[in-house]
Amino acid sequence: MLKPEQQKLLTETDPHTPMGELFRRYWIPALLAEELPAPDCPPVRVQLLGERLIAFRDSENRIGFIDEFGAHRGVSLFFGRNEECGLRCPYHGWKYDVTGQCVDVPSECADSNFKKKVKLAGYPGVERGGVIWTYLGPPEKQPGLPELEWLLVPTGHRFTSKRFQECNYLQAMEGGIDSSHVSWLHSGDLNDDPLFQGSKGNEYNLNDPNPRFEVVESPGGLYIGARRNAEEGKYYWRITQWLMPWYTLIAPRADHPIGGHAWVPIDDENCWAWSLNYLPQRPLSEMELQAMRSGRGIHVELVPGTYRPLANKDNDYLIDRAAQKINKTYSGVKGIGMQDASLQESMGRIQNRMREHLVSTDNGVIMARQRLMRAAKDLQKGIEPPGVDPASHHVRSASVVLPQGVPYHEAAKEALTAMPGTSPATV
Amino acid sequence: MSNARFIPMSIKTIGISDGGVAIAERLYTHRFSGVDFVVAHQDRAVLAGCGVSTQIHLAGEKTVSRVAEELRRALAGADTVFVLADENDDTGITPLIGDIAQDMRVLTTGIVTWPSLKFAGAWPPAEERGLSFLRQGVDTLLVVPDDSGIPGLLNALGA
Repeated sequence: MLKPEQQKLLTETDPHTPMGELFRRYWIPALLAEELPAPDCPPVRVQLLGERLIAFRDSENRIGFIDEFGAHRGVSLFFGRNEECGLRCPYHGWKYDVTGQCVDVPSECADSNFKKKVKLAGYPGVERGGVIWTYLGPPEKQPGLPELEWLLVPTGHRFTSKRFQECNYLQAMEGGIDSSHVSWLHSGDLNDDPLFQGSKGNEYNLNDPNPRFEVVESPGGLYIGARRNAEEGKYYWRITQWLMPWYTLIAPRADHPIGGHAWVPIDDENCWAWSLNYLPQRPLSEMELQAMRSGRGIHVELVPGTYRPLANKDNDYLIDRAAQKINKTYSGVKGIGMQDASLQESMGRIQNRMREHLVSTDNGVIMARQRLMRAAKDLQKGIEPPGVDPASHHVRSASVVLPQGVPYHEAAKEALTAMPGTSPATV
Repeated sequence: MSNARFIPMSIKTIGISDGGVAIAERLYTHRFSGVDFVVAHQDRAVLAGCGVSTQIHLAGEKTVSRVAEELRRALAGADTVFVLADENDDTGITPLIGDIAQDMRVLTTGIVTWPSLKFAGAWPPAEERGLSFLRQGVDTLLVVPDDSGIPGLLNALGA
């Protein structure tokens, strides 16, 4: 349960809000690289943290994110011409470079300096790991580029997708932190989905629906160990990571890829749910890639040409009551990704946390909220945010079976550290 | 929007040993609704200096069954139990608290403050006995650098 002012603090990310200012201190996954595939390709509308921007890749392959609306008459530069190292407004020909600097006002005298006095808001764009990133914070505070393991593996070792999710980022991210729902909501899929099936861990998950938790605060987030009964004298641990400010890493199953999400606010009522899979030690197989492309695992099937899920709130997520009745799927919604998204969206655009009733198994969610609120308030006092140092990204999720009484972080210390080329610890 | 009636849960919070008693006393001043505080310590002088009125003296001459009875009385009616401790605390009483909570069919959360977590790469050592007792006694263990987040955690549960 949150107080109204806490709810507001956590869920509002527009410019000049405390959480918005905090989030602007981190690199933001903004676009899939395929959305800006080549120099001078069409520009793309991007909305992040309540700011409406246009992204484009110029003639020299530089990427920029600039204010969507031109400085002259406020025309959307989505309709602009991406040509000769700049985006030209089709209305009167004003042209802007990737920094937002106006570089041409054709109606003015050829030697006029007026263009130098016009600059739109502009933010850097960098391609890394198949994703185009931007940074919306103060330039002097720009951190090093993200070093999340999935970004650093060879291209064939990872698959990244994104879906438009019609709710505030926080309730979506909290779903990623809360692993206790797996034994219920996803119970029908663990042994059916090609990216989950065949894992001994699935048995432990399904046989013990009452996990116990050990949550340890780390400099860049939280380690969340969920313990379930395994064979006599042993526990099955699934150790997920929450990383500031919006990343969740899912523990792997059998030899399936490691999974993860980034939950990025578009505005206060919508977010991008980024879903990723990767394997440090080998390329993804064609079967795995095909499953991911077709919306299995944590990915979803999309309306062609968009990032909106095919199963969405307008069609009640294509709920199949017969499948629900026979426990083929626990909620009746097909696919792990949409099972999560459907319930998160069902809470309303912004979940009213004044009416929730959390219990002690929600401690991971509570601690992440605390961490975000503390970081936002600290930043207002001039204290730099946690987790901006790329070194804090050098972690992994893991699943292990350990003798009872052995602390997971000690036994799995190496398994929780990202080490290029090495296999993840998985059950 | 749900209009469900929900009777606020009863939270019993027990501070054990030096650090745990100090944390409990600091939280006690917040006057949370629905949260009852208990402190348990071996030293009567520490308890005498503590403002929390429900106290359990873990005297050496007391039998385990007597301590258990006092704990049972103090925790009666709880919907959830929190055990508070600091990294240097003697947490040997935790498994007994856990057994009692289990008999009561309520979940127990241990919160231990561990200041070195503020530093990158720092982990509580595996052989640490205090943590070992906590692990035996609680359903969820939270390891945090300080107690600043505990009021918010109790608020989140409805306090």
